Amino acid sequence: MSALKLTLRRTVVAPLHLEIISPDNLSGKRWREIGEYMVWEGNRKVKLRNLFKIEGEADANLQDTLIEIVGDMSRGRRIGYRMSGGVIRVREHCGLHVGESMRGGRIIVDGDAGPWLGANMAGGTIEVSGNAGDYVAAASLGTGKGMTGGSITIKGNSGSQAGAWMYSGLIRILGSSGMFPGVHMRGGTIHIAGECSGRAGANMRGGKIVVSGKLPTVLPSFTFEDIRSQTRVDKDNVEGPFYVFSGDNNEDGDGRLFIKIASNPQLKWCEKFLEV
Amino acid sequence: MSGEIAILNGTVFDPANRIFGERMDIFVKDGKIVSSVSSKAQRIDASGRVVMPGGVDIHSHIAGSKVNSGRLLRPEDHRKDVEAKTSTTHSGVGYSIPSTYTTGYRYAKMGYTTVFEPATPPLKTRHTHEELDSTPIIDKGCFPLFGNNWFVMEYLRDGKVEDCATYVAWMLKALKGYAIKIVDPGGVEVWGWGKFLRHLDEKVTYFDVTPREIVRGLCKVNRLLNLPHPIHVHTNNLGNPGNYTTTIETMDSVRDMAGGGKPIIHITHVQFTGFSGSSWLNLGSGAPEIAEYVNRHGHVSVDLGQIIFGDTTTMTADGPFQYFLHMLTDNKWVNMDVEAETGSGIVPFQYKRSNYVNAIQWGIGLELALLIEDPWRVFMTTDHPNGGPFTSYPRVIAWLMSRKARERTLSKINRTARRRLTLPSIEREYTLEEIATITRAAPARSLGLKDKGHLGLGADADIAIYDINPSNMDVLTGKPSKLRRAFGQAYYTIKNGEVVVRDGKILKTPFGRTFYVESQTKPEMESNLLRSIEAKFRDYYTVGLENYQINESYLRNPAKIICEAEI
Repeated sequence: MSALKLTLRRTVVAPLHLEIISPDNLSGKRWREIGEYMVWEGNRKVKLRNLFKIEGEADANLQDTLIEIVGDMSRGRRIGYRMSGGVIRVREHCGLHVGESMRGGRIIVDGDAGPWLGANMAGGTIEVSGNAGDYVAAASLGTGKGMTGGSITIKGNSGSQAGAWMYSGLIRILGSSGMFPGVHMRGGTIHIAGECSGRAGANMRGGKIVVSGKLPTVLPSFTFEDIRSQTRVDKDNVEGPFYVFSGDNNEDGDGRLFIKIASNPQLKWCEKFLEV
Repeated sequence: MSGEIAILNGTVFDPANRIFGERMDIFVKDGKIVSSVSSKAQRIDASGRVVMPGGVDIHSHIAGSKVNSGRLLRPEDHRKDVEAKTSTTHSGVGYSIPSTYTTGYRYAKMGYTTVFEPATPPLKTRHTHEELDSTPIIDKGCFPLFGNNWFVMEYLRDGKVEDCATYVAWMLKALKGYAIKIVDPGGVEVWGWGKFLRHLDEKVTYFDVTPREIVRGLCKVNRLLNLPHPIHVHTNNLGNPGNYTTTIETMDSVRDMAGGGKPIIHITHVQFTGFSGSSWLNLGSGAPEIAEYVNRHGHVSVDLGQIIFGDTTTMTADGPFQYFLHMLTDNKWVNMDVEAETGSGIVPFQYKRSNYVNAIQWGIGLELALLIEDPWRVFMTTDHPNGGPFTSYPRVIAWLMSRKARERTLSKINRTARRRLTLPSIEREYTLEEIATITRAAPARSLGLKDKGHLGLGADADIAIYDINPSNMDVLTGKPSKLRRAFGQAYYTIKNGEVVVRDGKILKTPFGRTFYVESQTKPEMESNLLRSIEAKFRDYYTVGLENYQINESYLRNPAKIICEAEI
C-alpha cells in the first residue's frame, strides 16, 4: 500500500470544498496530476497544489489507496465524499460533511470532526478520536434517509441529532451526546456510552438506542416495556441492566430505548409497572 | 433596448404571419422588428439555422409564495443543481424550483422570452411581483386566483355578475394581475371544511354556489371586462380516475357563451385531468375523448402539463389534491390556507417510468398534443414544476417531433401502460412550424399579446435562433438528442432588441416588463364597490384594504394593457 500525503501549506479561512479528495478520485494518480485539480476556496477556485504539498502517489488499487492529510482541515468539507474503498487519514481536525454518502472504505480522524459526519452514509467505517459536531450520520437537509449502512465510532462527544433519519448501521459515541439522538430513526443502532442531553429517539419508528450514561428523562410518548440484564450492540454485549422503552408512539413507532439503570435512578418510577 | 441588428439568411418560422420556413432576413431596431436597418447594424449570420419568435410560456409556476415555500422545503433539490457566479450572471440553484435569477437565465438559454406565473393568491401577489421583479431577461405577468374567492362566490350566488365583474376588474388593477385563474372551483373552500367536491353541480359549503356557476360566472365576467386572455381553468377532480368527464363537462359548461371565433375558456395542464377509468386499477387515457371535444369545439384551448420522468416538486392552489398526494407518498409537504381566497399545497414527487399511473400520465400529455388537430389551441407546457421542470421542454419537443424518440421512451415504460395507451399507434410528428405555433405564436395570441409571438413589422424584437438546419429534418427526427440539444441551448436569444444569449451563454441580463391588465369600468361602479367591500375587508382579512393594493411604482417595469369594460 503506497500513501499519498497532502500537507496543508497555509492557514485556510474560507470554506474548502474537497469532495475530490477520496480514494475513488485519486487512486492511481500521480502527484503532478492531482495537483492540477481545482477546488473551491470560498468563492474562488484554486489548484490543489497551491493548497497542499503533495507527496507520494495513490495506489492504483482502490482498496489499497491511503490518503493522509496533514494540517488543520477545520474548513475542509466533504472529504471522502461518496468514497467506496481505501483509507483516508486526517491527522488533525476536519470540517463539515466528512464521509458524506460514503459507500465503503475507512476514514480516520485524529482530531475533531465537524457537523454532518457520515451524512447519508451507506457503508464503510469512520473513526474519530476527538469530538464530532451535530448531525452525525444524519440525512442531508431536506432528504428523508440518513445512514443506511456502515459504522461510525466517536471517541469523544457528539453534538445533537446524531443518527437523524437513520435507517441502518451503527453509531458508537464513547463520550456524551447532545439532544435528540436518533430523531426520526427508522433502523440501526446508536450506542451512547456517556451522558445524553435528552429527547433520545424522538419520532423514531424503529431501531435501537442504548444509553449507558445519564438520560435526564424519557419522552412521554415512549412505553416502558421491560428490564434487561444486557443488550447487544453489533457483535458486543453491553452490560446493564437496562430499562427498555418502546416508541415513539406519536409515530406509531416500534423503536427501542435501552437506558442503563445504574446511571438513571430518576427512572426508578417505571419499575412499578412491572409489578402489575 | 439597443441599436440595430440584422439577422441574415435565417430560415424563418413565423406562423402568425404565415411564414413557414422561408429563407429571409429579419431586422431589429430599438427593440422592434423593422423593415430595414443601417449598414452599422450588428450582423448575425443565421444561414442554415432556424429563426423563430421568442418562446412564450403561458403556464409556469416561477414566482410567488408557494414557489418560495417549495424552495425552502427542498434544499436537496438545490444541492444537486448549483450554478456558480460568472461575470454576467448571479450564482443560483435549480433544479425543479430554481432561484429567480436562474429561472430567467435558463428560460433565455432555451430561447424563451415571455413567461406567465399562472396562480397567485391575491393576498400574496405582492410577493409574486417581488420575485418576478428579480427574474431577469424575460417579460412576465401573473394570474390571480378567483375560483374560491369568498367575494366572487357571494356575488355569483346572489346573481350579481356585474358587481362581480367590477370586483374582478378592481382586483386585477389593484394586484397588477393579468387574467382570471380558477383552480378547483369551490373545491378548495369545501376541503377546508373536510369535504370534497366531486361534481360540477355540487354546492360549495356555506356559499350555496356550484363549480359550474363559478366557471360560468367568471366566464361572463371575463367577457364583460374584455380581458385579453380567456378564463384559465384548472378543473375539479384533478388527479382522480375518470376525471376526463369533469374536464369535458367544464369545457361544455360555457359552450353557449362562445362567440367571436375565439376560445373563451382555457383548460390548463389538461394531462392531469385527462384520466379515464373508474379506479387506479383500470386507469387509462381520456386524451382521445378530450381531443375529440377540442377538435369539434372552437371555444376551448388547452395546455399540456406534460410529465417528465424524474424528480420534481408539485405545487398548486388545489389543496385537496396536494393532501391526497402527501398521503399517497408519505412525503413532506406544505399546506396553506390563504384567508378568504384560496389554499395551496406543495409535495415533492418522483414520476417513474415503471409506475403504471405515471406512465399513463406521460402518454396522456403526448396523446393530447398529437390528437388535437389545431396547434393554435394546444400549448406546450409541463405545468412547471408540477409535471417537470421547464428545462425539460426540449425533451417534450423531441417527443412531439420524433416518433422514434417516443418509441424509445415507450420501450422503457410500464408494459401494461404501454398496452393501454393509444400513443404507439399515433404516427403524427410535429413540424417546425407547429412547434413554433404551440410554443410561441399560439400562447401569445391566447394571452392577447399583440406584439409577441410573431416577427411582423412592429412586433417586439424577441427572437430565438436555433442551430437546426431545416433541410436536415429527416436526420434530426432520427436523432432526437440533437433536437433536444438545439432547443435546449439557443444559438442566439434576442430580447427586446438586445442579444442576451449567444451559443447558450448569457451575455446580458436586462430586466423585462411585467404585464398587467386594467379593465376600465364606469368610475361610479368602482367607487360603489370599494364602499361595499370595505366592511367585508375588515371582517374577512387580517390586512387593510389600503395595504392590499399594489402600486404601479412597486413594479420594476410595469406594462399596462388597457381594456374597455362593457360595464
